[in-house]
Amino acid sequence: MSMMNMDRGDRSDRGDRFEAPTYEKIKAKDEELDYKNVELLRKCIGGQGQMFSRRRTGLSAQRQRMLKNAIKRARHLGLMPFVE
Amino acid sequence: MSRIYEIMYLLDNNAVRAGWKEAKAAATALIEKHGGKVLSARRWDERKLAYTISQRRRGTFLLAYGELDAAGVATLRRELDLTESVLRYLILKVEAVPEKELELTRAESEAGFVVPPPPEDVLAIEEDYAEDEESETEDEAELDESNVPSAELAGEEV
Repeated sequence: MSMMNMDRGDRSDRGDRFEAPTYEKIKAKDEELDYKNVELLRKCIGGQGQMFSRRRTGLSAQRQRMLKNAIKRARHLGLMPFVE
Repeated sequence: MSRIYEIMYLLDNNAVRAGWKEAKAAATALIEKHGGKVLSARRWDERKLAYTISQRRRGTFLLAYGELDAAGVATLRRELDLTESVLRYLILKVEAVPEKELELTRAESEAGFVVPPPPEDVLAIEEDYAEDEESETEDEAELDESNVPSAELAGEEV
């Protein structure tokens, strides 16, 4: 991030500009976001078991909500961790 | 008015080991007891749990579909809360029973189908005790080691 700004020498006085990090989106376009689909849900949580944001999953608001409900249901049944 | 519900049970493996058919019958009988009709019921999976539930590390999931009315669901929930062989449950409203589920249920009820018995589950309590004992002995060993250099240092200073 800072490297890029350093290359543009004329902008160095503007300080570090925020650059959104890019993530690989979760490929869940055609898949059903269901609590039973644990394999897919596993891809949408981090190392400590936290859900990924919409920016990271690349889902629509509606689909992200479905993902949220699915993960919470799976957690209740012991299929997914709350914390790891 | 009755609706179709998807009911996922998390069953205690100890109850399942005594006999899958009996465990399944006991779970589905609850639906009927509360004025419902069982449309399909099958063993979904037996797997390791993400965290211990009632000191169990593994559990068997039973996926059932049934037709119940709202009052029936409320009383069923109350009874499931009190049933010890049901560790967790999830009741969801669905439009219809998926075709695939009916097929899989039919496959399970066929004569040749053998339900694999769940593997032995080591009780979490026992394991925790074992871990505690180990860590205690380790701590003692570490203490002994740490005492030695400090004693030597003290000797050098004098």
